Amino acid sequence: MKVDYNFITLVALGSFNPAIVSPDFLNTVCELNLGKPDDQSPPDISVIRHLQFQNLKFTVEMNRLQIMETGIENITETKLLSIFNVYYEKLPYTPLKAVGLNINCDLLAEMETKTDALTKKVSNPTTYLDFFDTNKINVIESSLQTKTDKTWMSSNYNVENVHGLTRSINITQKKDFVNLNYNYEAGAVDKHKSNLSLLLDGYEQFCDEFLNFVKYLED
Amino acid sequence: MEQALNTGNSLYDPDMGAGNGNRNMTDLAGFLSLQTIDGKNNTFSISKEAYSDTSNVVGKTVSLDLKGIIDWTDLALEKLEKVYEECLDANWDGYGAMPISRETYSKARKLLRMIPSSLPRPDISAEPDGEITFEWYKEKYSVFVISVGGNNLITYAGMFGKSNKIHGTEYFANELPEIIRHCIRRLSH
Repeated sequence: MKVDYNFITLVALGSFNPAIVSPDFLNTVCELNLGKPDDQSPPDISVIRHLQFQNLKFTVEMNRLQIMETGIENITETKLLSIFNVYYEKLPYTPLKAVGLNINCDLLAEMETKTDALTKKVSNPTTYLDFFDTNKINVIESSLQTKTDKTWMSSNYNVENVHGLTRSINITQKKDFVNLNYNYEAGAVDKHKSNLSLLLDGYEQFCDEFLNFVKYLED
Repeated sequence: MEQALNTGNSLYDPDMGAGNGNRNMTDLAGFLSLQTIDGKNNTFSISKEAYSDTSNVVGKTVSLDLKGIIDWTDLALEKLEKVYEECLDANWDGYGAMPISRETYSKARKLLRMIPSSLPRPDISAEPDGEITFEWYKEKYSVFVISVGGNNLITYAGMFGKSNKIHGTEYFANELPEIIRHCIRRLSH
């Protein structure tokens, strides 16, 4: 099975001031040396800030910060965690509610018959119950139902407390592949700061888990 | 919770003003971006992120897609996916056109993400040779076109007035080639 990475994002929820996040702030204060931005939103729009530096995109809203990295070859080499660490170090009183990481990719089976098998596996909640060795998952499914037939379109599987963090997996059927968004999230960061450390320090483990999951789908 | 699944419930009304995009507050992406799923926070991120705000216009709730105004990438990616799905099989035009390969789609997506969204959004279409084309059309004799196939090569051609023409091939890896950026900017000024 081929894994075609679309992006990795780090999403933080809380209270942010989009006006602060300027190229100068990132380059000089955070010392990220990102250079001149390829793109930025008009500075006079104060409620949202969008900045692009090559394959890094920053989107800051009043209640949401997202840093996206594209052009991913190896998920363990992402810069997102170090960027967020520096940002949070410089603005340590940022009221955070939750922080999550997403790996978004397309999964391509080699043959049509295998695509069907893959679809069957990813659309079955048992796959997730077994993989996470849990008794309960929350499922939101979207499908097209006729009187005689049901066509699965997408599902969201939410698994709580996997090594202290939440997993949220979104799978969408596309024409000849499936799109997978694999999220792990530290919630209630405002009350339990240790959750954030679990997330930031556990990225390598998370990558291993993700790769194991992809392999599990292949088997 | 049911609202999240209700993708068919169209709150979008094209007459309700510009900038509302083609998404609504009740789609899954929009719902998740509202940061609640069963009352919990959610840092979910999918390719069709919806940065939506709602306004009440004459009793109707419309979705204002701020993200669409600031960054058109997601909208263009949706269009690209549609083109790919329509041209996935050989002879998609009835005249023996080559199919768009997965590799071509993948490269086109990578290229699209490299184009700064402060530049104009291109029209996306397929070529009979199986390549994907991005076109910026300003007016007659003022047009720039790039096409991408399964390799990392961009073929480009542009007209900037009746007598100014340019064409060539550029390799791209992790950055949009400067000549391509320059030509798009030249057209938009």
